[in-house]
Amino acid sequence: MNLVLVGRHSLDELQNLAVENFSGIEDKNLVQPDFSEEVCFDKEHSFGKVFKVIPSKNLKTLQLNWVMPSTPSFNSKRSDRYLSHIFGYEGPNSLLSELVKLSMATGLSAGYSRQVHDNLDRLTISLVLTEKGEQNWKDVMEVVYMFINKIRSQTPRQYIYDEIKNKSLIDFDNLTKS
Amino acid sequence: MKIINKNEDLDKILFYPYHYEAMDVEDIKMRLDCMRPDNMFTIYHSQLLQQEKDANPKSFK
Repeated sequence: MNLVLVGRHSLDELQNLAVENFSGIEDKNLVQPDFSEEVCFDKEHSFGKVFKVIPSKNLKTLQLNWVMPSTPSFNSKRSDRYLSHIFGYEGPNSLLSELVKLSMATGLSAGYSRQVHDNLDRLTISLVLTEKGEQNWKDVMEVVYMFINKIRSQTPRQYIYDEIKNKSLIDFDNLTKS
Repeated sequence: MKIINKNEDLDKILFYPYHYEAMDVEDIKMRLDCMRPDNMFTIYHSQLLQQEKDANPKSFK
């Protein structure tokens, strides 16, 4: 069992906080599960496939996942943020705006998960479909791929990267003081 | 136990998730090339699938 405290308090104060808040937790000496031999993404059975789920609630969603080479932990190039920004953007000429125009989706989110497995990252685009989109989900996928091909045909834009970078600096400057 | 004594070091650690080096065009292109159907899996949630299941129960496990 491990605990890390980060703060601007003195060591004694941090120690007191740790004792006060965490000493009641019993150390059961559990062994951490080892998944190193597990196959997280089984190429033969998982890829190029659609997993169809019948939900109990009236849910209409399409989640598209791509597996990518992993990004090293201390990599600050942030290609992952660039991609999730490009696909998650909701303004004019965005993927969502195209789908909304076609009355196929009402919501979209894009996220990049780093190191979901040893050497793999995952990019996910989640769509909230309309009834039309639900009935024509293959057409929705086609629109997504048309958009991907459009992005692929363009050189990545420096000004978009700079925007993301500047927004990140603003976020850091406005962090709540601990 | 590792202790960070200098405030500057702590600032560096806190800033790390917000730090951007420089855009790597080739890395972005390589990741875009990974966005292919054979490298993808999709999860589709819809109650319309009930009809499909009723018509062909074996196709659903």
